Amino acid sequence: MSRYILKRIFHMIPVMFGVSLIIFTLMFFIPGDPARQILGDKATEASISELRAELGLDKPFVVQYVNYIEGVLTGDFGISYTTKQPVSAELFARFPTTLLFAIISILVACIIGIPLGIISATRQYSFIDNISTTLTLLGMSIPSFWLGLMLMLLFSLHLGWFPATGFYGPKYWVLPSVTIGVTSAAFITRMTRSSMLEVIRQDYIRTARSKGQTEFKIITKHALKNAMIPVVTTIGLIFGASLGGQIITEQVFSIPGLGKLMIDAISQRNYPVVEGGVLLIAFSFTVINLLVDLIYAYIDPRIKSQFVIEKKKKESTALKGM
Amino acid sequence: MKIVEKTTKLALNFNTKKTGQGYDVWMRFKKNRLALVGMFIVGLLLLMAVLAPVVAPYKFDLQDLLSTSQKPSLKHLFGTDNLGRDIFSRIVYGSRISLFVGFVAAAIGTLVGGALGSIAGYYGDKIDTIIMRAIDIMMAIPAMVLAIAICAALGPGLLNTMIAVGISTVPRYARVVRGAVLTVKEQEFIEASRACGGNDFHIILKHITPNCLAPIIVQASLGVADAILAAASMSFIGLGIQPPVPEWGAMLSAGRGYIRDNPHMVLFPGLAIMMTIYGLNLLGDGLRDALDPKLKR
Repeated sequence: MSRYILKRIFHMIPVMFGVSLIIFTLMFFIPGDPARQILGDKATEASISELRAELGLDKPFVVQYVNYIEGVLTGDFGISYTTKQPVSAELFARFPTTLLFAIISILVACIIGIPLGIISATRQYSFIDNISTTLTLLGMSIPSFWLGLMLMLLFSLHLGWFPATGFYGPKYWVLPSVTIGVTSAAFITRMTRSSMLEVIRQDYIRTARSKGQTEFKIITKHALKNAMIPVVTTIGLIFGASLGGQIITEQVFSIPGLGKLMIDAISQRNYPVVEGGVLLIAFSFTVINLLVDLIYAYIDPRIKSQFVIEKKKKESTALKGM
Repeated sequence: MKIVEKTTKLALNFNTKKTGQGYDVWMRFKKNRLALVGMFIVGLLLLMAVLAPVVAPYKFDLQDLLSTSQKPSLKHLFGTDNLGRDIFSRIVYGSRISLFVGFVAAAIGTLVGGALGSIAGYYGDKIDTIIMRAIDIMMAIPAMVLAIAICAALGPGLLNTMIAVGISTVPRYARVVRGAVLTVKEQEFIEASRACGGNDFHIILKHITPNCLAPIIVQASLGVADAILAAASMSFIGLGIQPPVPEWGAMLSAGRGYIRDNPHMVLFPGLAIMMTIYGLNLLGDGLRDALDPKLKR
């Protein structure tokens, strides 16, 4: 098992290098001179070229990229063009907010989605199931930024229950996390339903029924455990997708997170911040996927046993070799 | 004698009822009521987009500064915006933009992703490893973030938005197509074609692609919905399609500042996006069920 984890972590390294190359290339070929951007229109040519040399912008692409990577590996993402602060400080000041936002949203999505999916599956084609299927499809179709605006309109402008903007405490969390949560919940409901439907037709569920187990225990103990495996994968994927969707929602609710930082940086042509932001998001996404795979292996003994068998095979062939 | 007649008649009947695969798919599709609803919505939208000048009561850029920010009324079905433009007309014209962006972006994704996926799947080995590693790298960036980054590099605008959204969806098409190609390429008729002297290009285009069409069609029909949503999101944050163009996301973004007093400026463009995505999702789901009866929901 530990070998598997190591292998996966090892696999992350080239992927992250690739991501950094893509992002750096994209930002490198943007027309416009960052030095001129920083100093403004009134700057003299001499001071611009001086700053270009200072930032290393006069060097060829490969050298700049290598310098950037060397910096990133030591935690230095460059200097923000607008605030003149280290990008890493800005990123890590915003990152906890975004992460918290993501976690709350995914919790909301699970709390709505999993029970709804189970109920739908256990009462297939019933009234509740039809309602939930329709709502699920609608939930997948709602643009999150619009839902956010509508929630804001109803619950903060008209009813005054929740604050409209900011992210400073539980009261502020409700609207943004519901906004993201509804779409994610729709995907989770759908996956839970189809996965449960598949499981409750299995023989071992019939066995459990015939031995007189109560329906509640059958669902919670026998069916749910097995049905959750594909759901966990979905949750992992949604987590990453909602990191992207959050960028938009942070804009709607003026949440001081990574997304807002990045969008502001794009409009100010502050590219080191954009690069750092994308890298950080991609890194978190990859780490989450890794965690999901580990959880997957943990909750599914079949996968765990695969590694054990592989290991045993290797050991036995090694012994034969001796 | 009679029996013979009957059997020949039956046989003839059977022959006249010769049905293609398309007919079977249509029969299965027809049974799905929700899918028909989806097809109806999408059909209506296409009609609206084509006939926009006829359907829309006003021109989308006609500013009536004497009647700005009006609530919905008979004269202005969805009200007017802060510049006095008729929101209903703008939404009608906006369907052209959104559908165009959606279809073109999905086409870019399908073509590029399909080409990469089929090459990877068909040739296997090193080429497969190289392409799929590249796809893995792209997958590590959430699609929306990748689209935003590409759009930031290319600059805003209709064409750049379509390219950005299209490229950000390449990985998922590539994976679907690769998977389909892997199952098809081992079959006998591929070998037969190769024995007849067909070259790789011919085999991929004439024999493999048609047999992988079902998953590609399903992915693309759902992909159009995703692309429209992504493009609207980008326009909303000011990166995608820029205002005078009546793009729904951009309209939403422009109406945001007036939400307290004039919620209709935000309500209707959002509803338009939602109905479009809903219709396309229903259609895509229906197509998936119809094209692949083995697949369960």
